[in-house]
Amino acid sequence: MSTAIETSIRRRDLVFGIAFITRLLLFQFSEVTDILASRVEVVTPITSFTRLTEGLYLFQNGVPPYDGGVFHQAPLLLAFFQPLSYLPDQFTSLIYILIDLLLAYLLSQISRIKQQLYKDLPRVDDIELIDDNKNEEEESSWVVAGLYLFNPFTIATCLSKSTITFTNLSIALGTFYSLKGNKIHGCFWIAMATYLSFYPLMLIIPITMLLVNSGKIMSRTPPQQESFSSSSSKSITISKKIEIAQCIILYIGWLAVLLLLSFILVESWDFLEATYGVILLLPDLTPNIGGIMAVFKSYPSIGDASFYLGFLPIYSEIVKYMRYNFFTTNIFLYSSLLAPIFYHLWIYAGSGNANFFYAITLVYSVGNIILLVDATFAMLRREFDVWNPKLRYCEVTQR
Amino acid sequence: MSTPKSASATRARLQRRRALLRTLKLWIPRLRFLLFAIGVGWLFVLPSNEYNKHTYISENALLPGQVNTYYSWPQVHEASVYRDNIESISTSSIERTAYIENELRKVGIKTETQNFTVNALGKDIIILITDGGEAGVQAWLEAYHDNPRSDIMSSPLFLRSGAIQAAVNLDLPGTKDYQVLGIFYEGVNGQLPNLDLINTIVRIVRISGRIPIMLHDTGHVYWANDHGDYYSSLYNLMLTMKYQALGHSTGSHGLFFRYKIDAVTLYGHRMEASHQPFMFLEIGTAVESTFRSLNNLLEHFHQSFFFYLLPSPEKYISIGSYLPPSILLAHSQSSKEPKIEQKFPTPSPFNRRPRRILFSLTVLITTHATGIMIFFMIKNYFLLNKLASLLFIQDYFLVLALIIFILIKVSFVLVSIMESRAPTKNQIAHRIEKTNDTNSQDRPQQLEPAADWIILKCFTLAFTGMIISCLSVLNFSLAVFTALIVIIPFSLFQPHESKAIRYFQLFVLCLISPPGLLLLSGVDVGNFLKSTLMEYQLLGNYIVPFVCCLYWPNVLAYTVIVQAPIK
Amino acid sequence: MQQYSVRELHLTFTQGRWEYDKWGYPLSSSAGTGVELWAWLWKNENLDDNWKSLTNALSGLFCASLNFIDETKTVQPQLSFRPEGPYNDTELYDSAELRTGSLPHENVCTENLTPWIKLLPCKSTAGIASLVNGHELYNSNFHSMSINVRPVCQDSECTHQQLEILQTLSTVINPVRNKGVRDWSLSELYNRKILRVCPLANESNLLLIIPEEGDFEIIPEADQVIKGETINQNIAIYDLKKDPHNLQLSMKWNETQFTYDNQVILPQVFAHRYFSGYGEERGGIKVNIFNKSPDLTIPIIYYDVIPWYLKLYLHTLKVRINGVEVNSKSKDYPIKDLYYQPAMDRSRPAVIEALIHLPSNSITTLSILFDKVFLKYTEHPPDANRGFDVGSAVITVVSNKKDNDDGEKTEEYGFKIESPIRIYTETLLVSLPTPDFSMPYNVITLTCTVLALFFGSMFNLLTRQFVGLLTLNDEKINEEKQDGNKDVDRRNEEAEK
Repeated sequence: MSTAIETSIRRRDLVFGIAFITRLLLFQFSEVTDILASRVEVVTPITSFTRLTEGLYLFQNGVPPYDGGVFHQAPLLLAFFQPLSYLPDQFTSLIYILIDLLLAYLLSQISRIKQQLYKDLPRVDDIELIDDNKNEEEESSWVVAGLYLFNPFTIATCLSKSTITFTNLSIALGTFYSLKGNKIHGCFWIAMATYLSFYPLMLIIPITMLLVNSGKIMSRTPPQQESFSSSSSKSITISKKIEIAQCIILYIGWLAVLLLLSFILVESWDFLEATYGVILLLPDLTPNIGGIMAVFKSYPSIGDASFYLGFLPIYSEIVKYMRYNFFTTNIFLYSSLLAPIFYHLWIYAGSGNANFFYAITLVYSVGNIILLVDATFAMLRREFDVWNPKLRYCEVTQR
Repeated sequence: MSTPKSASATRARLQRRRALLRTLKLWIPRLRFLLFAIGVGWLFVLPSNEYNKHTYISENALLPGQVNTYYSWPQVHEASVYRDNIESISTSSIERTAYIENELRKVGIKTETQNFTVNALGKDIIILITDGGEAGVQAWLEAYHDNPRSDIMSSPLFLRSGAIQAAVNLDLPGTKDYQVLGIFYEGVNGQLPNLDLINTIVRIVRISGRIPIMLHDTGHVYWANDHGDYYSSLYNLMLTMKYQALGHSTGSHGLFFRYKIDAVTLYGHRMEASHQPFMFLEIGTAVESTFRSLNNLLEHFHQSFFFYLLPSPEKYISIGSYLPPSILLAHSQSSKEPKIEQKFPTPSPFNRRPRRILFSLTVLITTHATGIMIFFMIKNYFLLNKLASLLFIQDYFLVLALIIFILIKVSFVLVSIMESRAPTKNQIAHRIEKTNDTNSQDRPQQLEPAADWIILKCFTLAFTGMIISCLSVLNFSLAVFTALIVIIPFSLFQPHESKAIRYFQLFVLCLISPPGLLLLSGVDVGNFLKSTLMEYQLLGNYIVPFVCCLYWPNVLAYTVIVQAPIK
Repeated sequence: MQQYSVRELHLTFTQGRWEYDKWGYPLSSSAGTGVELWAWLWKNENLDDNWKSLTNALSGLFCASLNFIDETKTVQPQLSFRPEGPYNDTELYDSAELRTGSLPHENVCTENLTPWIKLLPCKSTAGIASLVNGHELYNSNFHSMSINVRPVCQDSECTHQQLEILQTLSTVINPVRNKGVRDWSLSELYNRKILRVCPLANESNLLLIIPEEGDFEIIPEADQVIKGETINQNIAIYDLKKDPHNLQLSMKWNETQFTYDNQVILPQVFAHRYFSGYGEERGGIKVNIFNKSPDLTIPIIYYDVIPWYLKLYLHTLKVRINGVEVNSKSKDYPIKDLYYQPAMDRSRPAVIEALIHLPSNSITTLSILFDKVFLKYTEHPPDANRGFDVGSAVITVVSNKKDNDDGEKTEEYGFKIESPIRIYTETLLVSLPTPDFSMPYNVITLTCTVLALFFGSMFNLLTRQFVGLLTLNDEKINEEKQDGNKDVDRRNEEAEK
């Protein structure tokens, strides 16, 4: 048994090692990284490393970086990259690689915590066999890390030095600490994510829920039938209310601290408009893979997809129930192949037009939507199986 | 409200659905070949006159042939004098350059060793005279756009005009008269100029009335309102598709497309046939008229006029007509995918048969890595050449030997791994027993995992289908040829008990692998490699990387599949 | 001028490109293709309004689209376009501000010429102005007309100042293009004759620079031939006041066919600017600045206004001298002073101004990269999609301080050699990525379809419940048919409740 754990640990080390070496090697091919750093699918105006470099250059030369239409990223990134600009480029690459590895490690840790939390929950007994040893836990945690690290989207995002990595890292850290029940850190990282790219603002709700409930999930007994239907309507106790207030105050406090620090750094509030204003008002019309996803988020990139796809294998039991895996994979593959082709036809060859690229962003969005809907279906379907073990071998349909 | 009645209705609906699925499952394999047949048939319908449309000028501002031209006999005389002078000069390239430069300066035009501009019309005209064919043009283009890319070392350029709109490459060999004007239009990687440019030239030449046109050098001469018969059209299409598939530019014009400049080559053919010969006068008038038409153009050429096939100079086939067959061909394969996926349907909400994806992925990654390795070897062909010459062997022999060694090694290793993964007989027996056991316990067990080759085949097919359909947007002809070559073998081949069939499959795969195809086509392998590599390095022709990194790996994956253990 | 508190005003209309490496420096002020306007305005709270009003007033006056010089085209250069009138520097900079703007795409035509002529005291009826003929003017290789309004001193102490209006018109006509030889006459060139002299004129002279060598004949003889001071050639002067009627000036060369000289004498400093790269996503701007002087290091000011739709990356600014890159930390780095104003989307252009010391006999290349911005479809102009113009860069040759005093006011019979000399580069045409104009329709229909797909299937999932049904053809299950059936029914009933 201990050897099994050792094997899986060794496997984890292997995964991390290979991921590290692959990235390090790929960073040596400057043509590859240059192309990736300029692809509209990978980087957006608000995450582009080229723009960050420009902002930093202006900042260092005494030109206000936000007094122009180029730089739309958070001021603290300037502070972070300033010392790096005196070092050789390899250090920057190294930082991006390490962040990616750290992200993968956090994901595997999240997966572990989740498995522990779900240990006592009812499951579909004959399929999700419970091994008493910890092997499965270890095993799945390195699979989660591996799937994140070897996702081509992740590698592309890392090589492009897109600053979305920092947002992703903050969200992962926030989730991790919230699962651990650490309010201060959890709220800080979510505030940081919000500060970096605004949209994680929405995460404060699930994070608060996590923080407030984290202690309880562990001790919860398998819920009874009635709790399934009516527990949500139970009144929230006062202590819970206090906890929620604590979380929100912490979050707002951290956010204020970050914004103040930024103000001290760049000595003006211009950055608010140049960063969050740009995210909300979309003055920069550089095309991105969003297409319609723009409705949900402005300037999406494959970095977003790589991150949430990283969370998917944590719910391996749900993935089993998904119906369109093959189809979705194909959609992602086709769109990631055709997007550069159509972009080339539009921008360089001149033989295609903007509709070509738009169509492919639409396909990409459909892929995302199908994945989301399918995952929801799988979750509901599994829940049905969990509560109705007798109907396992019946045809099940929706009414 | 669900009454028993409605429950039974639902049940009936489900039954219907299942029946439909069953029928589909029965028909899909047959449909596959039907699709393939339709695709191939469609291709042969394309050249027929009923099927394609008359060309028309989409940009009205061009007004072809409606401007006055001033090119006349005095200019013809001058041209002849220049030509005679150039002829009389020795063949040394430097002297010729000096003479041309001097003469152009005399006419009052800024020159640089390669180029000069006239400011007579509303737009600048750049006249480019090169030595060394396509390399010279490429060097100039790269210098003009200040975009050094290939290995050409060229001196910097200081004379520039603005963005170039269109280019006409005049290739008039020799100094005699010509009988037919050949139009060459295929560019590097199968790119085409805007159809309007070709239409304008054809229209202008038609108006002059004295020059017959030929597409390429097919030998079929077109006069006005002549669309040729089916076979000549078919021949024209085949030729275009051949050039496109090889990514081969049929003239220096092909290099301009990368820079978004529409271009064609006009070639003066001399034929034995008794056509009225034409001379500088006609060519000069036609060229001047073309330039004046282009000068009318205020904006870029219209967008949607880049995807076409020309069966004859005044007929075209639009993308809507020719794309379906290639998509049909590509997807006659993918329709096989679901069949593998749903081979064992169970009432379970998900497929119980574990699919060991990781291994198949590893195989595919390995084969593609091998392809990339082969590509780098071929890229450094010239380097290896030197090594070979040290060893006194034929120059491409070494490369070929190395590649074949790598291929055999890789497929051997992969197959042996697959064999080691395949369950032994004992294991199978054990599993069956176990399954029976669990069945009796009323706990249906997970099914035995699908054989590796099934998943590998499924992946390879899906991947090939994807490559072909993506390719058909970039380079239709290459996609069609790829589809025609691989589809039948790929959809039929699988591991077989009989050794003979296995070896036959292997043999076919060898034939459709790039070296096999080269041997079958009977070209001189050494020369072919050299010229395609030159095109890759100078002009960015992507046929070599495509074949090495995308085509070959899939064939390689199939050689692994046919040798794989069946279970 | 008074109404808009304008101190100094310079307006130039140019058609064509002055080819420095063929023609040398222009004799009178010229500008890049299109319209260029620069003015010094007195500082007050309405300065920007005044500037706007000024452009609009001039727009009406000269029938030009000067009103399109809005905030996206207005620039305040820090080093270039110094005032030409007599000022105390510190006083001026405290009290006035510079505004410039240019319209490279503006076509100059007779409707701009007529108001220009109207400003002349005798219109085009007398004097040299009677040669001005729109037909011939707009058939020339290059022409440029300008109006410069500036204060001049009345006395040596400069206690009184007066406004001076200087109107210039330059054209380049090439008789070789039509005839093959260099012969010309005034009537041939302009298709007009000088019949009388404007009575209001104090002086009305026609000057001709006499070529140094060659076999030619000028008819009639000049009234006076002097040796030019800044131009090292002889100048023939014809005084129109004397006898305007007989001035049928012409020049004949003893040749049957003119062939151009292969040895072009190049001016000391000139420049070419061009785009590098291809495609509609990104590119670069490169300028080759030539210093042909064999031993002088020439300081210049490079001034370039890049529209906001080209997003410059200043960190990509590179300098090469004779093809060798120079590090910014190096001692030889030619950029001594750099002023950069980043562009703001839809509100102001990027400005680069650099003080560059050109080493002797060198080619200095500046290069900078940019991204092309995707415009809103309403921001594309409604005319033919030919691309967007980028105005000329301006190179101002900074004369050395001690030469400055005599250089400032060198005036020789109207041959005012500008000090400082301004060299204009080519205007550039850039094609930006275009959306397809069927897109609004496509985006609305398809995007809504996909959104409907998302919300539809999501609600479908969340609102409908699962129910189990017995499968009919599975043997294994058949065994527990009884059990299952009941189960299904029970579950269904439960669900109904």
